[in-house]
Amino acid sequence: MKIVVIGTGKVGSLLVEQLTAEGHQIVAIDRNEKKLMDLQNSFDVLCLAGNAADRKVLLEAGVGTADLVIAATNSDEVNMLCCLLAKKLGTSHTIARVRKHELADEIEVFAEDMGLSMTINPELYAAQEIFSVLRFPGLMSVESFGHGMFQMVEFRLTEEGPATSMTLQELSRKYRSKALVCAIRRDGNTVIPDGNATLRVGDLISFAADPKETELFLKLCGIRSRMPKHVMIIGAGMIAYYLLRMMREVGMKSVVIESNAANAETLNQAVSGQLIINADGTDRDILDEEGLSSTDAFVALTGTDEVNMLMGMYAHREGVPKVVTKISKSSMLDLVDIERVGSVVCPRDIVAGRIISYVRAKENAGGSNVETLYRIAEGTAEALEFTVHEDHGTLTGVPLRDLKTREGIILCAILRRGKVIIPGGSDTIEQGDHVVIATTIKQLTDLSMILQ
Amino acid sequence: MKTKVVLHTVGLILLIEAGLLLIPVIVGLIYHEEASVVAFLIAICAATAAGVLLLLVKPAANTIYAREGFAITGLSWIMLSLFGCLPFVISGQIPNPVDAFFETVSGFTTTGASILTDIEALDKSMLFWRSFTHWIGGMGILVFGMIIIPLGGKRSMHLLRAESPGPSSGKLVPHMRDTAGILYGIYIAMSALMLVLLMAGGMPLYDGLINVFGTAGTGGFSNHSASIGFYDSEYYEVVIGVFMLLFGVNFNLYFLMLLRRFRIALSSEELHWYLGFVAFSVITIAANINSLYGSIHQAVRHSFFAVSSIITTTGFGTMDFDTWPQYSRTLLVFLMFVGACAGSTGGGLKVSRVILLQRTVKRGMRRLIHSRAVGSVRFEGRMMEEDTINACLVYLAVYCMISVASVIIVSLNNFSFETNVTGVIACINNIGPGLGMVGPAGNYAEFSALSKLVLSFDMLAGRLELFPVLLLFYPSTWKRS
Repeated sequence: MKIVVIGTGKVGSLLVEQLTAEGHQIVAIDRNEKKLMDLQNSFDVLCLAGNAADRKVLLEAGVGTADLVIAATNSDEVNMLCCLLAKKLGTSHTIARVRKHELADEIEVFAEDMGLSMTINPELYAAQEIFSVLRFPGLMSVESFGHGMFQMVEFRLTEEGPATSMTLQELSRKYRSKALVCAIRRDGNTVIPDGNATLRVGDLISFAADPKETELFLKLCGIRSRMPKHVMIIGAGMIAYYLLRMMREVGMKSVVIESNAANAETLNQAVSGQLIINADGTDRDILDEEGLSSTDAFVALTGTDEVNMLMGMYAHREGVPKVVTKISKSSMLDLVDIERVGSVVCPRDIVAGRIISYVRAKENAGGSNVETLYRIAEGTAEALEFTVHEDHGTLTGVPLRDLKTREGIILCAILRRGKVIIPGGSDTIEQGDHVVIATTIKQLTDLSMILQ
Repeated sequence: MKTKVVLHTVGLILLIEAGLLLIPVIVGLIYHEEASVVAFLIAICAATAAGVLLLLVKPAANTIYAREGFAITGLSWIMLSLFGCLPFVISGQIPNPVDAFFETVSGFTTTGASILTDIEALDKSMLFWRSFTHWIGGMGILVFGMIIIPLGGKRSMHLLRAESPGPSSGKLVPHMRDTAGILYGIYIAMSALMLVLLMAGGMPLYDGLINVFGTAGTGGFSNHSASIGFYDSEYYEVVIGVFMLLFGVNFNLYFLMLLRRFRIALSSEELHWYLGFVAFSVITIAANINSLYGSIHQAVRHSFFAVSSIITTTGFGTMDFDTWPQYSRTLLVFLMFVGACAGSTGGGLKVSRVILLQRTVKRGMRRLIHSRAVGSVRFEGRMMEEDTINACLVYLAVYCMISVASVIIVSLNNFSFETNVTGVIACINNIGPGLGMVGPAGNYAEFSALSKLVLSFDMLAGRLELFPVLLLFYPSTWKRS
């Protein structure tokens, strides 16, 4: 596809990287020529320096014939204006990053008039991610498929238990567990396991199950699900705002610590009745005073990755059961031992993941769609949701044990008429089903590609 | 330095060269030149063997960075010339290896400087290969390679930048492979059109191809000692003269025209300056040589061809401009420096660099008077980044240093100052003929082996924008990273 990416900040440059890797033709526009030079040196991309809200610049980038324009500059207004202009100049689809909550809350009103196909709000996505991680203490992350009918849960196995003593096949027979392990990351390698695999302490495990089965499987792995009653949040930015809104709905209590008085005041106005402390979150006394030792979860959301990581590590050492650390640059992750900072949330990766899944879905509009895409096992594997169409005749009606699938693919779930089937060998795929597969094969764009 | 990636890529380039060497084999078979065919086949075997050997070097990762890009480009061109000169040596038609290397470098770099005293004595297939190297070298072998195989992967920009002439090289479309395809598409289409026009004037196919190769690559090798003057045809001179100018224009402009964006293409500042230089030179030189040829018509005819041949750095000749008055000779030497447009197949400093330098100088002068003056250099309607200006100044400095050093070494031959200086200028700017002994009627045969190697280095440095070749001799390029 021909895609124009406007703004090459954190999200923009990651998009350029991932979309060029998938073979799309990318034109990147930014005002900063130096940044563009770096980008052009690193990726097979055409770079244009200029203001993207300028009609001439957009025309030069060829938006008239582009399939998609993604506006990800640091200004919501510019993004919306670029998309509006691009649409008028003939672009098929536009995506704008809109992060201000005044605009984002009302986005449905604008979106149609401006012809926006999708809006992205990194802070909202990050808050959703953190919220779901908080609800499952001890887990790395939870993704929902089929409108929440079943979940893909990723966690690290830390204790010996029933799960480590037998093969996966024996485990599901003995405890009638219907959870399906989709990917195991062990010692830097990712494997898609079969029934004969065993789990080990230290593994990063991704499994699919409906919410009830999730709890059972976690218990087998020695993890008790418990919702935190009290959360300590450091940093009163936009993520904190969205997170607080969600937490208050389910009645979680929280305290926010913010060192900047103006930010604290802004949040106070946006979320009335919230306890906000205007103090330096890196001060041990303040943390102790506000009850770090007794809190159930700790969320580090300041604007500096280094500070977040240090505080995450400190909270972890102080024995807070659940620690979430926000990191903007995912390259930072290579520098630290991830387990010691708890769960890591990277808004940039979340946003890029959602846009990539949108792009893949659009590209395959004719055949089988990738409807949802999640990166699992530290980005080395993917969980993909497909719809089964009439032209997938080779797949439908065949018992799964007779399907010759490629190496590195596992069918995690079949969603049929509002029901979830965690599939066994005798189940079949039918037309109209939604299926979720986990795979280490990158760029799987069509369901028919799972066959040998 | 990731030496393995560099060697692996050079191996691929050698295999491409082996493939290209098959074309003169066909020519040899048509003209029944058995000895030359055998020489070409041996060269093909050698290039294939070396290429396969280098391909066996398996790099751990395929990513290249700036220095690998430079090293790949520099090394590829040297290896290309080494294997490209084998047919000349094996067949004994240019027995001295240094001479053969000089001739091949001169071909690939589209210089057109020759050590041959009797061109017609060579086999037709040999002359074909000699001119065909112009055509390959004009647009670049790595750019050609990118169409076939994904050279350099996602960081292929480092290769394009090293091989494509001019201060700033951009892509036409997002994918490097498509960009390379478009460039070669335009190149082939223009070459074909020119061939048709020449043949319409009655030129035989073989001569037509030789002249198209020489013009398209702005090289200047001819299959006759008298060059284009051999035909004494005004029609050919006009066709070749106009096409030399066309191949000296930035190819991006042709792409814009294909997209029907004529107004943007024709408003290029570089194009205006380029045409301005041509117009000014043609008119004043015609006036200057009018008395020699007796009629304005003849004066303009010869002046136009010489100016077009020199500013595009082709080096075809009709008249011996070395015998012209001093003004004409001096102006032509000045045009050698200017060269063609960036992004064309021509050499020289490039018109865009001359414009940038002139504007930088102007700004420098103004800052001397108004020390707090704010100002940036504008070019093609854009503000130039300080980095670009800096790179341009560094380029000029390096260019001067290489030229001076070369002149000093070449002066060991004890030829006249004029010969030494214009010889170096004609090589580093990829023109071919200079003044004095190396004038349009002369050649480079008399130079010592050392001088020929120095001049070969100059030609490679000039074609590859100085740095890829220079960095090969810079120790820290090869240090482990």
